[in-house]
Amino acid sequence: MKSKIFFLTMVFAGVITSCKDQLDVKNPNDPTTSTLLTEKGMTKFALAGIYINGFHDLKFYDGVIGYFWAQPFHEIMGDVIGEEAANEYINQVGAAENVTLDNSTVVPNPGSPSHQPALLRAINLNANQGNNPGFYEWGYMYSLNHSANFILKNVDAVKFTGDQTTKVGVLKAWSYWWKGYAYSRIASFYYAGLIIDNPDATNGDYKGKADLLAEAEKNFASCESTLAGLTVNGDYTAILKAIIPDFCQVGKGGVMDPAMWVRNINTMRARNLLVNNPVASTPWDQILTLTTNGITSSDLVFTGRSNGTADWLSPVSGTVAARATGPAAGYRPSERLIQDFQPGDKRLSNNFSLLPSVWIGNRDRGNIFNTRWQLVEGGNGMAGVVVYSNRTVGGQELYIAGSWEENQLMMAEANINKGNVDTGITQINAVRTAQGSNISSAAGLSAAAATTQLRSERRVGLAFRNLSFYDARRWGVIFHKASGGGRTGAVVVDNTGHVNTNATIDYQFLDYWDVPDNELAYNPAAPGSAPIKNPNN
Amino acid sequence: MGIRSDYSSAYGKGSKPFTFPRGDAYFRVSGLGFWDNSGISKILLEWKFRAAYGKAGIQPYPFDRYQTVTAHPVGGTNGFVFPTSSANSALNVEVSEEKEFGTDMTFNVLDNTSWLNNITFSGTYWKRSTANAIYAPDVAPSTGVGTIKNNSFGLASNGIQASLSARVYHTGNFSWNLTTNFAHQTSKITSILGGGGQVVVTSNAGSTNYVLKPGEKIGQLFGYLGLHDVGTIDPYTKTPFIAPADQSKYSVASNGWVVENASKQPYFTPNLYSFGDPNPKFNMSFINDFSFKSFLNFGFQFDWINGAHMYNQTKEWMYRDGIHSDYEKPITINGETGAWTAFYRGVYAQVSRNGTKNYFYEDASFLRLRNVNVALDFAKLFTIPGFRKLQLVLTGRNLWTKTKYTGMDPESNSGTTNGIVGGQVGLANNTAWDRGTDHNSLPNFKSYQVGLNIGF
Repeated sequence: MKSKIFFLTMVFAGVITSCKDQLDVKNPNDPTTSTLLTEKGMTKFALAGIYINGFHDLKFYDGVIGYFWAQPFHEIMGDVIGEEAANEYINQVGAAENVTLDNSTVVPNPGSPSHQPALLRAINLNANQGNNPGFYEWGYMYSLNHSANFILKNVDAVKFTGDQTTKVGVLKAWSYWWKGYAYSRIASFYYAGLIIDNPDATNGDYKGKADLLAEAEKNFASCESTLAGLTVNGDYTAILKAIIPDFCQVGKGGVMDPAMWVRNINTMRARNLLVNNPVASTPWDQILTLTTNGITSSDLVFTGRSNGTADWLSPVSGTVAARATGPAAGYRPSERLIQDFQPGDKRLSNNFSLLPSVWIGNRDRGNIFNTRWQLVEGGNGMAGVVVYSNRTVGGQELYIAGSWEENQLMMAEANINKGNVDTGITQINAVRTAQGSNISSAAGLSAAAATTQLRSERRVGLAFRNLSFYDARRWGVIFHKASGGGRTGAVVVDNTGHVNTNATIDYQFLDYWDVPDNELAYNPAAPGSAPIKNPNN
Repeated sequence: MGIRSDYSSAYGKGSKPFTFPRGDAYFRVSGLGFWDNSGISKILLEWKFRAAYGKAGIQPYPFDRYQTVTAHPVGGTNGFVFPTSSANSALNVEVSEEKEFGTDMTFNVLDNTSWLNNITFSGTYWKRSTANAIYAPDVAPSTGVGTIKNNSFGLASNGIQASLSARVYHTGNFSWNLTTNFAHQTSKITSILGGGGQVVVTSNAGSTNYVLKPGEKIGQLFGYLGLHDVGTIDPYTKTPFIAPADQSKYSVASNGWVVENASKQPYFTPNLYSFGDPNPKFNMSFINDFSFKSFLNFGFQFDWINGAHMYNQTKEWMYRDGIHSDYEKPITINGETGAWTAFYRGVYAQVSRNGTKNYFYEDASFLRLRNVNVALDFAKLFTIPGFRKLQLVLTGRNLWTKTKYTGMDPESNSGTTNGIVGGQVGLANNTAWDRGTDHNSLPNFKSYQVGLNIGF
């Protein structure tokens, strides 16, 4: 009996130990990370890991501000749009410190705290989770960086059909480009950032703007040198076609050859120099050199378009322009954008019309967002004139990185600041002609007058391209009126509906945002880090 | 006593087995030799002590530990993306351990009378702790990951349960039984793995969230405080919230809240503070049953919850839209009386629109007539051929409630979050954290039921 029990116990034990292997079950429902180490997997990841992880899926989401390209933060601080909704405190982010009306009445910021930098500090708490507006650009760009890091770490181990070197090269260049892009955005918006090359870990060594811009440059340089070694053969085209969304390969989007790609890089390089320096200390020579080798009028660029199933951008809500369209828009076109159009500019009449009645937002939510204007869906039909908002499927072409117009205007600004005023004017006029504005400036203007034209053109020619905040910052517009900032002669509609035409807006916005607390709560600054809080303001 | 050992593919890497012991024991004082012969046994018929201990586990979901990628359509093809909530290959089982001690006693107080013949008392103290509770808290966004499922925290709870049931009165024709239940419990977070010592959970209460911190009670709300006294001191800085120089600009309105005299706006603190222990002090039930002869039964039950709180989010949204009847209630601010819209609107809008504010954190203690029932058995009243039982039962539920809570029902609970739970968007989950929030919640209904029991 005893031996029987012993025997049965042994059999039992044997069964158990052999069963253990059967418990090592893989998930049969979803592909695993090892799937990404195949040609098909890596290619599919280079597509959606960039466009979706980088600009769409994030742990926090709020329909009122949408995904990355729909978010209003830049354009509201740049006074291109206004918003009444309080989600993510967006109405307060865009409320000016005070506005002085024509009759000398001063309307303060109705929010609490009433000083925008103090508000941003007060709400920069981990407990606010997705309500903290400072989280989003950081979260998206580091997600983009993570995807690019994953590709760089693993692409060499993948077996490709056809020309292995070319395909690996394109994917590496792709990753370096997007890393450069991510660091450019972080450096241009936050006071400090992290440099991370490892997809599996982070670090607590926060770096200041100069280091981040250097890192962006390092990645752009790697992209450039990788491209230099590539031949544009069938495999080059095939892989690039597979990693750019098919619905974006129309218009100005599509497979670009290495030379074109490098010109795109040069425009981004110029942008980084331009937007991160005040006008007086901007390196105009470098910018001129870079833009001279930047995007041409026939070049393809990085674009974003919607598709019918809104996989990435929704036609009606995927971009800032789409959300600013129509009489009941969530984002309202700003009176200051309208007043920046030069007289006779067809772009104004083609794209904006008066609302049936003045829109006046709740006075406890903002002081400068009232407006008489709406952005017209699809334009007013004027032939040859650019349309800012087209909400049909695939209708709107969004510029995710640089564009020819931006390149031209950077070149123009450099020329004006170097004394080549007439050259600058010609370049400004070229953009105006291309956009069908029917206006142009004569030669022989003074530098100051040319600068006014340049600034106007940047505001209206590059509207809704996420550049307005950078401009407002470097031109000093967002700073304290007492130290030369602010905007005079502004058109402001007050709470009674009266249109003031000589108002003074004192914005007092924070120039570079603090590192979001959702990062710091889980990754505190290591000793020796750069400061993570902007000491200004 | 026993043990149980489990292997599972859902356990962490290496799949070690988890072992769960359990045991229970009891001691019947009334079984001791001296008991039957002593005088006590006439009154205290039965007395038992008991104790139990057990350990159990909740395993992770089958595929929680496998890193996967997700297919995402991009135009005419699919791409692969990393999910925003990541699995964890090192995930371990959640282990819960519970101890309880209790006693049961049966009394016969007034022997040989119709009163209080059979009284049973049962009381238990229980203590339960959970280690390695699985939850997906945030990770630093610079990692490129949204949240990672992890054995994130430890919880502990303890409580007392007691019940007293008595045959209060009994004669041949009429009897009255009474049962009273009492319960009190509290639960708290004991530890949090990494993560800056806090885990943030989205809730339906305002637009601030629950923050779980070690040592704090679960379900505790953090929000902006309105004040009842102009000189209230900030517990963290030990200085007054309102600078002494400014205090003359504020006063206490007739409804007890500190307001700014000029703008009539209520004052709210710029920072978040705890609203206090969310656990009710206790809950009790009183269940009475009466039967007359064999044909009439009558019963009613009262439920009493004391010290409960509810966050009235429904009211907060109605304040935003100006559609709450409170907007018509006049209040006196600094000598001026009126139904000041600025005040009511300010409650919603000041400091943070739709922020979690103690103004909406209401006392939800209540006494409720849970159940009234009458049953009349016609087959016992008359002799009906063919029927052994023909009983008509009338029941009323939730007929009467007494509470200070201003919302529809102090017992409703929004429980379901429809935003982001554990970092996963759209995960509708009956979360254990979101207790005590009334967010457009369906109230319990008053109901009347008629039933017929038939026996042949």
